[in-house]
Amino acid sequence: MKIALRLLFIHMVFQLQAMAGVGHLKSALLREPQVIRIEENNGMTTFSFCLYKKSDKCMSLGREEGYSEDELLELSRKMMQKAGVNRILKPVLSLIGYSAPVAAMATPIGPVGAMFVGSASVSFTNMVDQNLALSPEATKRLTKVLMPSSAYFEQRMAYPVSILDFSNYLEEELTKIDRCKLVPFGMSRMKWQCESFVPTNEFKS
Amino acid sequence: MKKLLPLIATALIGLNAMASTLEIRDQKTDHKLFVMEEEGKIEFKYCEGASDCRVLGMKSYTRTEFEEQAKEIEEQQSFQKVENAIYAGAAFLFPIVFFKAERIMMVEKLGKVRGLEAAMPKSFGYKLGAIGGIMLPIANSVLMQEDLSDKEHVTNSVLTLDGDDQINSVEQYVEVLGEVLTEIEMRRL
Repeated sequence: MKIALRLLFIHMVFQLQAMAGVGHLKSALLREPQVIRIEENNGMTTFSFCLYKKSDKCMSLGREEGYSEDELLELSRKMMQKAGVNRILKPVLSLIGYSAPVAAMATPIGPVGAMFVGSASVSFTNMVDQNLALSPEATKRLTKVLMPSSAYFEQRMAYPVSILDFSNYLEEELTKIDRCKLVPFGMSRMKWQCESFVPTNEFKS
Repeated sequence: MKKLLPLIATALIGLNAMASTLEIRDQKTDHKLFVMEEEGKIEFKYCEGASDCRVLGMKSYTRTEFEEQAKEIEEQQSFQKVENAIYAGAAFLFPIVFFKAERIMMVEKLGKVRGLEAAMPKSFGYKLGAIGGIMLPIANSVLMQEDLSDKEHVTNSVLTLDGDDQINSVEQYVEVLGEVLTEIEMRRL
């Protein structure tokens, strides 16, 4: 009887251990040993940026107590839609950036004007290329990282972006949920950003 | 009967092991990955050392999910082929359109002398710059395409439950497996 109880206890301990999951996201760049650690404990998932895989030196991204499964699923679905939009939006934007100077040459603004349009188009193309929120690959990766199940996988990015930049992007998307809770009064400039997180009627006052 | 019991036990254990378990070992470290299939459910267990084991993935996965994934990878591969064909066509047609067609259009519009004057210069440097400016982004987008061969390999070895049992790095194998599993999870979203 005693042995059976002991076995049951050991089994339960193992079960508990199995329930708490740890997953890592590694960078695609070999020079970066840093990882994003995703830990699941009692239904709450925490994200942290660590110096290397087994390091204790970690910075938490977003809320320290973690995010519930429903919140993450909702955010993840939103990111998946965004990735679908970005797949079309990004090529269109970069095409605009490339063709703007050519189009400007066809108008009577002259060579000097075309020079200004050209330099503006270079910075526009840079912005489009480097903005992670516009990149379909980064948004798709974020969908995968935000899924509650990602605490049980080891992942490596296939897309050559610095993991530092990606962790900033992740933190930005995670803190959006809480940032919007801080503005119950009529800050009209936050309305557009927060509409999807807070019902619109809360902004009237 | 008593003598037979150990024999039966070993036979059962042997049968159980045959009931499709794939054990993947590392050449350098003692990391191991077990892929087990029981009653149509596939489970993964990753061991970093003798006692440090954990289950990969949310719960068990079904065979159909992996078949769907294999189909999806095939589709992606054929899509990549189409994309490459479009890029190759663009790379072939662009210089012709850029120089020949433009020249013909200008000559038709303005007459021979003024048309050739208005057309783009024929110098080598100009040609190189214009063609390189378009070719580089095209080559870049061909090179940036995702490499699907690893994913295909892992999906197939899970489906057939055989393949390499001793490989260079189990850690990398687990990463690719994680990628396959996240894609299956993403389809559930």
